[in-house]
Amino acid sequence: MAVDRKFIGKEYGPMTYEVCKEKIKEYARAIKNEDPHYLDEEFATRSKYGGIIAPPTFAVIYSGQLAMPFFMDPELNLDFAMLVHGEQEFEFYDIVRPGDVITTQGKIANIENKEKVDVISLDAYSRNQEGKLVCKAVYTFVIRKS
Amino acid sequence: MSQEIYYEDINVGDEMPKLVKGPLQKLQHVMYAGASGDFNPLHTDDDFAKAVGLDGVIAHGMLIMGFVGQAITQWIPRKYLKRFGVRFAGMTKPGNTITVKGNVVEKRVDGNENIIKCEVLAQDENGDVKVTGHFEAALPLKS
Repeated sequence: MAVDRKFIGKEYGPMTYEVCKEKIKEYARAIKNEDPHYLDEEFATRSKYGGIIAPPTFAVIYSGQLAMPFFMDPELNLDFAMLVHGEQEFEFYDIVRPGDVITTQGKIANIENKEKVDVISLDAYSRNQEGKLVCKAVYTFVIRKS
Repeated sequence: MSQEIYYEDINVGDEMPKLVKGPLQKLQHVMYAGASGDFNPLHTDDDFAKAVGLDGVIAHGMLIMGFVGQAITQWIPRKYLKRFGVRFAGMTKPGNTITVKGNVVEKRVDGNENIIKCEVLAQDENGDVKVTGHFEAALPLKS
């Protein structure tokens, strides 16, 4: 069953995520990225950032929260077993640090019905506690038609 | 770790320093699942992966994007990175060793920003492409 294009524009969120340095460290260790900007408090404090910062792809942790209500949306009724992550885009507007409270809101940006697949993209805008946009993410999923 | 880098020092065609990651282990998939909250069993449960027609678990695409992100920020300081996008082109399996490379394809002045654009690529030990992508960074001027 093709995903209906009438859902273009449907909104998800807002969802809020509080960034903590232990989560940043856990994420960096899972990537096996030993960059001390993410792991070493003393180094990070002396760096130009003045403390631990989140790696760029940490954006998937705070903004990717929106994937759950989107995947589980009963109206959309996505065939999860046939779904793969096709593309991922981030635009970065500010550094994210421990203590930041990030609120993400998103909407379905596009749905393309192709011969063998549907392609669906979700735009997610993440703002910090000062209301400043820190990241725009575009998640693109490809769903094979059964 | 990234040193200061200037727009004038970068030329179209310059290569990003390579980053080699792996060989990947299933344990790293488990670590990444826990760290990211993506518990799709396709990445951690061989029985599940076989039931959907694969020969075993595959890595999270975002883990490989994380490797590419590491390659970028070991070259370009995080605060200069403006855009980063990838297309997931192939499945990565336990045992694969991933090499990330890239090169500068464009330099341009955009308002008061001095932008470099690079193409990036992640491949396994057989040359099979896992991720293709691009990033843009706004670099400082020396003068």
